[in-house]
Amino acid sequence: VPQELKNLSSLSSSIAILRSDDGLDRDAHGYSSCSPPSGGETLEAIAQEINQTVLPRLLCFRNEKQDKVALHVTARRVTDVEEISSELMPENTLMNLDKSVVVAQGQGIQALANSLDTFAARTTQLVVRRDIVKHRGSISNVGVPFAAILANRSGLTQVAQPVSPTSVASRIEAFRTEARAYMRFDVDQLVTREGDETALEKLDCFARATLTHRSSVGTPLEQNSLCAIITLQNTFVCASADNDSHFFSSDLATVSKILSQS
Amino acid sequence: MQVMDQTKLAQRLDELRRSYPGCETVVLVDLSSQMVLCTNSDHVLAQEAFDALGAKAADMFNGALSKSEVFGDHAKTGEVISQIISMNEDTAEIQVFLRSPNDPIDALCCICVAGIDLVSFIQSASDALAQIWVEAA
Repeated sequence: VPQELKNLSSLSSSIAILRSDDGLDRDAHGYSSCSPPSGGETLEAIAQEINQTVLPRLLCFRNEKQDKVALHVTARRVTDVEEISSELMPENTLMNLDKSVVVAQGQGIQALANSLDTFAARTTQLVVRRDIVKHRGSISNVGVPFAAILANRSGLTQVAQPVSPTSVASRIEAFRTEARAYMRFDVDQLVTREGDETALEKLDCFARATLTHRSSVGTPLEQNSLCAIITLQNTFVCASADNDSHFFSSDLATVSKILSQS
Repeated sequence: MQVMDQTKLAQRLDELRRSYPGCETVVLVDLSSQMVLCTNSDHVLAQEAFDALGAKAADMFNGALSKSEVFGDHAKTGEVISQIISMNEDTAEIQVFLRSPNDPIDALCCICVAGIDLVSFIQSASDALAQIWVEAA
């Protein structure tokens, strides 16, 4: 057994795990079927499980060959790799599989992505167990979304990305063509200021207030997010992408139109 | 929030969500206490998830940004935050927060999938919020 897997096993034993009670039919080992179960859609099924997991869970996926992938998921993100069957990991990727996906933002994710590719290729019947992990802390925003993991695949199998994340960057472009006023900040530095001067004055106040209070819980300037704040008089939009903060003066109809595009 | 029939309240939230299959979760929150008053969801969500949604709504409507010079002087600017729509690329979901115009401590928090008709949904959600207030009066 490779040293990395031994390490994973020793870590597993220190974690108290409870089976989740979600009312699904289970086999003797606590696994339930995971739809869609057909082989070509395995990655989609895994993505669906991850994207539906908000509270900390250990998701254990198995196939008919008894291959196993166990991932710690919180807030729809993979935070840790608990276990991956050695059959799923090519020799040359074993050394790269760091247990902590969060820390291993490079090769570790790629190794995981390639293992999932292999898993999907070997799977026609997928089952899942969703365990509640007692000692894993509270909800956190750390971790890696499934789409980011798939983006790191080296291309063993060409499967369509199961998650089609709506792009904030493309919506920013759409807003820019329709907004009354637009401002862009690189950190706190104003880079772009364009549009109607009256609207820009108000937008400037909004932008600077948002940047000042961005540490506030509800102020959505986290990466790749977008937020419209609507009053009776104005609709302000703030968005964050590529480490820049974007601000728009708009209206509800435009906001609805652009955000409704899927 | 005035006292109201919990069955009617649950019925209003259920009607709203059933009218819009793209709406997965609806939560009525008391912003002053961040207390979740009623929920309706497609998914089995733990109370912590609902509480987090309520806390976010309270912070967005009543937090530091709402007290900044842009929104803080309501009488002068009329800039009271009434609706908030947010989306995150990673989760690909849209969150809609509506504050009750009749009782500003009440807010409806909704989680929707991308692609929902937001104009129509927001109108219906506003109507539901107004109806809830009428029935509580």
